Amino acid sequence: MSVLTSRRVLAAVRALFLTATALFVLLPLAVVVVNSFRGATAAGGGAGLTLRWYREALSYEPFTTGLLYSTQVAVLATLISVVVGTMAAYAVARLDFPGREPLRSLFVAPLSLPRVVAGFCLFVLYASLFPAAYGTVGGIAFAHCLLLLPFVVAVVGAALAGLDPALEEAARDLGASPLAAFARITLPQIRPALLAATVFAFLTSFDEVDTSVFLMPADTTTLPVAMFLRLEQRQDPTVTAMSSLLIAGSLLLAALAAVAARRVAAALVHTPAPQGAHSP
Amino acid sequence: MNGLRASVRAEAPEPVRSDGGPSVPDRNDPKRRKDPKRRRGYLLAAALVAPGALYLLLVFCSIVLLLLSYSFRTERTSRLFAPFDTGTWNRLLHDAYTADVLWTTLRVGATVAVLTVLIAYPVAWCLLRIRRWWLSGLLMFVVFSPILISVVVRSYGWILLLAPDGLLHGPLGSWLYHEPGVVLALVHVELPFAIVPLLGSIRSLPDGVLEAAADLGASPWRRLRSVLLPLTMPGVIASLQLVFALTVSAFATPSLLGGGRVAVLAQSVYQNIQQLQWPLAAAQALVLLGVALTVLATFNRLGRLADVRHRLPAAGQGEG
Repeated sequence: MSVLTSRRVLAAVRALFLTATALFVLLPLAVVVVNSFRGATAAGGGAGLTLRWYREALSYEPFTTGLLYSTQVAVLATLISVVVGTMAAYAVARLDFPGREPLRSLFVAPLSLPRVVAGFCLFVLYASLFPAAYGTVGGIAFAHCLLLLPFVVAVVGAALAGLDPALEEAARDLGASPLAAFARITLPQIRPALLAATVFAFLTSFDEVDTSVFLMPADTTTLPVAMFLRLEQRQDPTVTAMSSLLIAGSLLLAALAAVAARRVAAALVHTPAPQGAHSP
Repeated sequence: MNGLRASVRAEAPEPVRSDGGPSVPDRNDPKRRKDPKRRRGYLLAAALVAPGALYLLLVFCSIVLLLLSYSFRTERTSRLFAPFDTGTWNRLLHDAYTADVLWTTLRVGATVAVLTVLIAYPVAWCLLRIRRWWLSGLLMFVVFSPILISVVVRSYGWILLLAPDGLLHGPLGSWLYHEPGVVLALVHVELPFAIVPLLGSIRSLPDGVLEAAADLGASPWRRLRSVLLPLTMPGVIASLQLVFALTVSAFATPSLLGGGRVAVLAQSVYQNIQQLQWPLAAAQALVLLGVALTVLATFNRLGRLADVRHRLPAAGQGEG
């Protein structure tokens, strides 16, 4: 009897704790979305729903420019770091060559570099040696690769480590070129990891503030930095509207990625699976 | 040709390489080293690794060189080739303001790390223990989806909540633009990152140790203190390390929630750039880098000390 009640108490405590945590996590996001539709400005006290802030956000010059810049930067940085990172992860995971361990640590090293330090250093680098790179999409994308590479190498590397290299070797033995063997045997198997790495890299680059804030002038900059700079000046419902659009966009992208990942996984299940692979 | 390759393979079956461990002995075999196919393998590897490795080396080297050279210039300059000067370091090391900023950074980092892990630990435990799949899936989504959303947006959410007409202004009235508000928002930002190492650590708990402790009559508190915590301590330390390192270098959240009143290192670097005090910013960036690396090294050390698994023969076998 007492065991049963103490179990019930524990379950209740657990439910309470989880509800409180969920509230803690979701409340700041919910309040942004709710405020974006609110009719009156901060202290006004007026009521009603309005789309006015969305109209204002989408016609506010730094936000529209920022949206364009952020998208361009994120596409470019994601493309470069996924290609370069996958190449490196493949070499480190599959090919046997001296110096693999130092390389492995080199590729995770950027994680211990504070982003502000990276941003400051690249700013100083551009300003003193390559003035043409300051304030350009390419300059920021180059900087973002530093943040994205460790992540891509880790995710793709983990996926490669879970595969059986014998399959690709068999393709090679049957006469496939290295590139064909990679493209037709290994690539389909690591597609879910590549997809995850791409989506996460894109969002990381798109949302990046700490490095980007150093690399572009305040009037033409990426969207999160433009929002940050505007918030530093004053609070304003336009930012809630833009934030809500960003929340919706991120969730949509994540949902699309989840659906795509499930498709890929289903396709993999229906093709003959790699049998009798390796057990440690 | 291909047939030949296949027959060579058949004679000397390759060990399965999962993480490079098993294939190491081959490397020292002189016959294999001279094998042209092997050399072609090295070339391919070099070609694949080169772009990323060169990029990282270039950035790291220029970072260290630029920071060092800038920090030895006179305080107010933006030119790289200004005269050599130790005044910046001199000021930094004797200035009460800098010491205050450093202390605030470390204090906020430590508070956030401890609070975040205190919340993250039970969340990770529940995530692994809840049996209804939709509930654990929902919890997973709730806990991890904020990672997808910009830090600026999340910090703004806290500003709205703590503002004079916000939901939480009543109970937490004075937190906005003060340190507690910064800590609160940072806990929110870092929570997902704290959960990941804990999940791994709790999941790899040897089967049945808690049940065994219960059967032997240990109270729940005793099971937590003497079994669960020691066994998952490496995860706790990894989690503390990650949150501490991220918080110490956080920029956007302390700037927005602190409203300029809570000065941390990252923000100070940014402000000095804007006031064209590049050497001061460079020196502070070096201090920040030093703090981050010290945090990582210290916790790595602690993590190794806290790993009690190798001292528990029963647990080691149960894992196999």
